[in-house]
Amino acid sequence: MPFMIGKEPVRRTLNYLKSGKLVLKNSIQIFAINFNSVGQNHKGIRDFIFWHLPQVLFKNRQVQIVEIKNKTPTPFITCFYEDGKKMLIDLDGKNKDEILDHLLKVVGKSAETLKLEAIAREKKDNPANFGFGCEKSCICEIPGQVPCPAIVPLPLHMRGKFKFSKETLE
Amino acid sequence: MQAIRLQLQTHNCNFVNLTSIYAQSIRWKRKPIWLPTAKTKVFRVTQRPKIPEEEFLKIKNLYNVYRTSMKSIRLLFLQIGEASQVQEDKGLKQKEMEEDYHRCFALNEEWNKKIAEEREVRLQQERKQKLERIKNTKVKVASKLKKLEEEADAIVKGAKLLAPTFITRDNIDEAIEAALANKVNYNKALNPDGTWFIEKPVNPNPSAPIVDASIKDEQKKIKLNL
Repeated sequence: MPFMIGKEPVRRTLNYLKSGKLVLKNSIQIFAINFNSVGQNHKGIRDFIFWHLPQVLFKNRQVQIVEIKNKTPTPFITCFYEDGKKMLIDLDGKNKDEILDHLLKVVGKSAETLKLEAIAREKKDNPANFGFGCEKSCICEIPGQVPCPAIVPLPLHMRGKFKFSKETLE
Repeated sequence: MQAIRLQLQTHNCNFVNLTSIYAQSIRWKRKPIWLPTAKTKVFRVTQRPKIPEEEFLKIKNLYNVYRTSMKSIRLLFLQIGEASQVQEDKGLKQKEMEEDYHRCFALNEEWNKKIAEEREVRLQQERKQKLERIKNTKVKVASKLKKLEEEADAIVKGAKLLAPTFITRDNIDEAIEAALANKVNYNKALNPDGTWFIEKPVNPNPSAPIVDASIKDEQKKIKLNL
């Protein structure tokens, strides 16, 4: 495997990235992580960055994610909202699972919201759908279907003009 | 008719932005809308259809039913639309978001508070440990310094004992004479049997050394004490 190099290459697989749970709320614009490279109380956030940050990055492409290293005595995350509010989350001495659980509760979208969004996305993405807001506005644009009669005349056997004409009836 | 159809199929519809392969031009089929009524049809008066009274009433009734149903359906759709618009009201959404933020903020505050308490305990413990460590280090350093001082004292003491034997301006002549009188020869040789051949001294009876034996003994004692 050419890409199975480096530390824990599973972190770079598509399945792993897709299985990330943390999808930040729409109003969050910046997600800044402060931590140190040494210290037992920073161990949890370091592990979180190692294991979960790739997933967070993958799932939140519109959010700016910043790592600020070795500038703080205790680790914390600051979330900046689009209306200027912010939320400071203290993570001193917490392990990576506790951190993830808390973030899911506080800044992540709930499971129900995600489900609804997935359904909405599916509706739009499905190429079999046509009509308003879809890729194709009319069934006639799909190859193999009967085109609109305003653009292409229907075959004769479908037309009343032919079917009920005196000649045909006779 | 067939000829027209063939002609139709030869034209595509790129000019109306239709990329479907089925799209065809109807330009040659119909009369353009801006043209007036054909000369031969200008004075044509269409006859009103003669429908029997009974049939007319039936058709009218059917149309009335149709219009009523359509109207009610349209109104229903309008109601549904309005209801869905209420849900997507910006103000309401904003309010919901605000409420959600406050709820999450309160949760987070609680979490932060808990962590702050835990940190306070941890920091106090660390402070205590640090103070203890400093105390231990201080004791260790003091004992080390004391030992060093004692060693230095011993060296000074020994030096003080030796001081009388130093060669100074006053006894330099005597020292030179003594050195000349007691020549020391370091030349010696070894044969394969392991026998040393030492050159015989020039002066077989050298004078007594300058260093007093008693002083040497004293110095040995000091070193042993250390």
